[in-house]
Amino acid sequence: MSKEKIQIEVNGKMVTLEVEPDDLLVDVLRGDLGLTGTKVGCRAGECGSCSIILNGKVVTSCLIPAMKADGGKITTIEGLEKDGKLHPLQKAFVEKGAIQCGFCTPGMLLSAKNLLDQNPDPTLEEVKIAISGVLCRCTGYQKIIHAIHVASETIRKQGV
Amino acid sequence: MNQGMNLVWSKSLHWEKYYRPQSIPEALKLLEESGGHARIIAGGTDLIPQIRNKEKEPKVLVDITRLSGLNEIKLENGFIKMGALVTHSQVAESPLIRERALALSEGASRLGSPQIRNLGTVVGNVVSGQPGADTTIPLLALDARVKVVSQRGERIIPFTEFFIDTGKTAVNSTREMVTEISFPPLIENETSISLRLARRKALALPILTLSVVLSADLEKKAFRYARIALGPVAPVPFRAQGAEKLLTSVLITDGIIKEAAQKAAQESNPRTSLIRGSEEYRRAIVANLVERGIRKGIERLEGKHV
Amino acid sequence: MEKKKKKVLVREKVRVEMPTLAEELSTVGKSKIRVDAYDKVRGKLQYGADFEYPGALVGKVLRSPHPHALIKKIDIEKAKALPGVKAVLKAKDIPGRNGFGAIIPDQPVLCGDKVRYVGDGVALIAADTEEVAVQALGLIDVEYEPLPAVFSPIDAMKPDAPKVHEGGNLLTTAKIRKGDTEKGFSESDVTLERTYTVPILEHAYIEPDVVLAIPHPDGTITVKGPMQAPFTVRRNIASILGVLINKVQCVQTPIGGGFGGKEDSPIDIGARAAVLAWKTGKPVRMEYDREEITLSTCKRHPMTIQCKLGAKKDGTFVALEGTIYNEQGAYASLGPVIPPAGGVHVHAVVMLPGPYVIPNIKVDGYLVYTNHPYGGAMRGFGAPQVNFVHESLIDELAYQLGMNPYDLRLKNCFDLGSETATGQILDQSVGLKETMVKAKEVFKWDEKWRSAPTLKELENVEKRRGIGMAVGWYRTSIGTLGDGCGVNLHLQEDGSVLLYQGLTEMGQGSCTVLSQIAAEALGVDIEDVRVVAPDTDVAPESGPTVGSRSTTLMGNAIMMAADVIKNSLFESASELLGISPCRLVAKNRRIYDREDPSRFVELKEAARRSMVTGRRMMGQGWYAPPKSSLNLETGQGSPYFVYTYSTQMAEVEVDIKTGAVEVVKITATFDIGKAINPMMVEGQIEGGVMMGLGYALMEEVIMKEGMIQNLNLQDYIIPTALDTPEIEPIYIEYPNIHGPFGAKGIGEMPNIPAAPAITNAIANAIGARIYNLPAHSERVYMTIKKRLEKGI
Repeated sequence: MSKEKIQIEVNGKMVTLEVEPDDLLVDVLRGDLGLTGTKVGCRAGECGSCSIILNGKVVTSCLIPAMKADGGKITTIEGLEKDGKLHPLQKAFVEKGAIQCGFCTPGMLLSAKNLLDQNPDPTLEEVKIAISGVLCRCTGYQKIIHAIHVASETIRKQGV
Repeated sequence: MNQGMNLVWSKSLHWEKYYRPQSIPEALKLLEESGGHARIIAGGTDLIPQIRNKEKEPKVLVDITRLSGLNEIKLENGFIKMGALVTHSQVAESPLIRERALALSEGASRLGSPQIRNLGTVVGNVVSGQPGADTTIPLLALDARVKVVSQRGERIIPFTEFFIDTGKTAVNSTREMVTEISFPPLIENETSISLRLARRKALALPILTLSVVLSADLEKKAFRYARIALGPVAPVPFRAQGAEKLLTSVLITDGIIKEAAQKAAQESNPRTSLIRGSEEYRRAIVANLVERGIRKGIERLEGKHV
Repeated sequence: MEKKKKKVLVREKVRVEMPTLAEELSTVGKSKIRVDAYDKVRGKLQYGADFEYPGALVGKVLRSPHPHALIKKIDIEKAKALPGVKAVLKAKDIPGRNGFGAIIPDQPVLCGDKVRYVGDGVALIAADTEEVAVQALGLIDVEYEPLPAVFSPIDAMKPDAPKVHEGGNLLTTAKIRKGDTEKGFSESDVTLERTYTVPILEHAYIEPDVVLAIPHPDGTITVKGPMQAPFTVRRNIASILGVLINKVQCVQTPIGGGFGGKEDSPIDIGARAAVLAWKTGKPVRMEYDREEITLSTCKRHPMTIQCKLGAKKDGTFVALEGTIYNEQGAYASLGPVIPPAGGVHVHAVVMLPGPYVIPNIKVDGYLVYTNHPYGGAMRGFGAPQVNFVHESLIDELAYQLGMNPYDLRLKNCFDLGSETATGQILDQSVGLKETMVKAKEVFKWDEKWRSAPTLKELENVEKRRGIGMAVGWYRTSIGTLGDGCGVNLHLQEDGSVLLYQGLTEMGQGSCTVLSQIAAEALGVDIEDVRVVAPDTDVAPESGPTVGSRSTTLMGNAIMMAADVIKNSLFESASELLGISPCRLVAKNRRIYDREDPSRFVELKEAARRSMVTGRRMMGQGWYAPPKSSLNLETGQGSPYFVYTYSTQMAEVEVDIKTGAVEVVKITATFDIGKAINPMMVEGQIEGGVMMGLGYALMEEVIMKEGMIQNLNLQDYIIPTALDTPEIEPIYIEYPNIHGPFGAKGIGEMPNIPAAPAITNAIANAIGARIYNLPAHSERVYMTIKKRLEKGI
């Protein structure tokens, strides 16, 4: 099979890649681009650890052929920080104990970012719904939910 | 002969070609030329897992996400129309659908997860032909129709004729494409509601999903009509027509509601599934949830927020 | 025969923060940010699957589709001929011992004569790419002759049952014989006997199993991947390759969740990758897909348990009898006995009577092979299963006696000085009653308490709330004779510290907690300590990271090691300060005069001086807990040296029309000795409670004729964020004299009483009992229906 060229904006940078027609986006991000912060947990869209933000929406990258993302704009976990400065969500996760094994953390952070970008003052239920697509086996979700609330307050007060 | 290959999984999936046509005629041409080996991909939330499980093995994928005009929800000529690229998230959040077809918005908001809802399309959900698909069921209650296009032209198929068997619809997915689903919006004195029961509150296929469209004259305290759609209780998405008949032009009484619910349970035909539950339980749930759906529908007609 | 009661010194009940030198602690007891938080939150931490290793071959396993079958023939010629295939291995190609296992190596790396469960390994392939490996698997021809299979322990114990292993299906028995239960039951005013079943559970750690095996020209091999027990992996691989243990190096990569599963699965995937690497002379990478993990790796033991409890009408327990049919599955893993009290089976038997004083006890436990996926360690190690039983039985007895379930438990539960089911006297650190009192207060048990609904209420209501409770206890560490662990601490001249040990961070926070203990013990800050990733070439033998043992055992070892360093460090400081070493104290990066804190020297100055004067700057610590004892015929002895206690109270709302249960709130209190890091303790509590919620309401591996029906995470369901209740985690500290700063274990305790707390709340909501887990909506609905039909 011959490779195809695609262009994606990843974490603010334009990249041109050569991919096989049947490459999956998660593998291209992790392999070709070395962005291993996006994880693989199930390859069925069930665990959410492969979550990325594509064209403004959080999606599971294990279900997306790389070629489908051509011309798109992607944020991975590596793109959450700006010039080495942590996003308020990242800071809140660290300070509020919302991380244990860390495997679901990128998916959780991106799901939360997608929520707060669209809904800066979410209710408890809205936060739970926003992260309902990422499975966590360690934390019981409590501190993650709390951290998201704390971050939303921080963002509302001082902006991102 | 090798046994045990069904116990081999791999990271990568395989197809030979991936096209991104710019127009519907181009898409249809690519389908035809692939001689039955092509599949449309929109969200991919059904197709990709099916390819992984070897349920489907297309050689060619035709990605329709570049086609313009297919991602709109609009009210036109007395119908709410949703294009083939309209996602579950769009439907869940659409003010038009929340106002004029709340059951559909509810159904779309409960399936999968935000990630799945952002990717998956309503058309894809319907075309999957699953009897318990969360947008199929409300659309069935809303009397929806499907616009199918191919190189041979276009046809409109009502939902009542669209589903043939589990996983099989009237669309030949190797040569045809659904471009739109439409339905008449609810009118005054009509309400709708969707209910869902699953083993957990997200990322779970339903044990039962149910939608009721109800019309009643509250002053006269009488039902005008009802449309009750549910699944999975049969090989195809199911309308409890016997129950619906019982709720046509009758007074609203406790007794008639219970009778209709029981009738719905009798006429549906759920099977025992190791994962979703026994036939006995699933039938009991039909009765209880249909009853709940009707009662909540009445409350909605009364203006209550339930 | 009347046993002579030995005199035991029972310590006075003490409940304080444990001060050192009557000063406040600077690091321990503080909610320090976990040491790996920043890397995890930035997506920078590399897990096993994130390492690139150019040139590594891909390994894959061909697995049996039959639960029980003879292997008549395996033809690998076509597979070997495929371009890109570098090795195709069968059983005879295993260089050393063709068997692995955490306790008994009865699981073939590759099956030669027969397969014992669906998923059993039959052949191995190493190829250039995964595509080639998969294609090659399809070219291997295996001829099986299916054998009759057995799928339940009761069936497997019948004389004509198919034999899973040559030695017979009964792998081991364990007993408790205490007092005279026949007499006890005759003296009881009420007896209640019930049978319970609990299902097979899957760990469902989100990070899939992965390993990289790298053979070296000098005849050694490195095996890298997520693993809870690098030393166990090492000893197995050495035997399998037929080499000395010192030729095998196991290196732990960050673990994305273990829960006991990664105590066992890395032996499996590690051994297979190692054999392929050995044969090809090339590095081999193996990753198990999610379905493959569910299919083939170890599970939580399912059990069928009959239990009978006799009590006086005032609620005093008199006698308990139990029979445990414990399904081991196809291979031994962590089921059998590690003398004297290790292994899932013995632990379950010993814990069945619960944290209650019961003078007459008779328990028989049978651990039985079947052709099902095999049981291993899963958070709680037998305790979740038996806790569900005793807490459900006692709860039902309370209702029968007309007593509040809280009062019945309080009346009989352990206190300082109590004698356990094994005749052990609990001479210290028993905070169970206090956890009950605290839970009751915070949960508002008395205000919320009401009796179960009448029939009439049940018939007419849509939803009904209920409350329930459960208590539990759980050992710290594993009750084996070889339960020791070592650490090497190296102080550097700039005051920084390297910590070499073999216990593994899998999210529970061990790296952070051990850093805190080291920092406190040495007088440095947590930022100054680096825990080197466990590497068996470099770390002292530490045992597995299981049994909630890390903080207590390794913490003690660290404190010993720190003392060695401080002895020499204080000599240097003494020279700098002109003060006797015995007056010196190390704290907050300083060494100062205890009598006059204004006289101090920076710790790194003293370290520098030690370096320059050739003084020792490293310390080694080795800690083994007080010796465990257990007579397997009588179940009498002191199997574990200290216990953690918990009370959990749950409020649920049951949808009577569908059986769906929503957990509204759980209050979970724990006596943990000392919270080294309070925020992380809360995290363990919240996460463990949710795991218990999954056990209660939704998790089960569904079997049909030996084949798992729910292999992926869509159908094996664990709780999502939308399934969470409000969880109130509370801890109490009754110092453990054997623990660093008084600590005892926490990792497993939270997921133990959670399930019966929830099912007891369901019983309160619907007026009928749940005897089988999970209490999913169908089970609850049918239980309601049966009650309505019975008319009681």
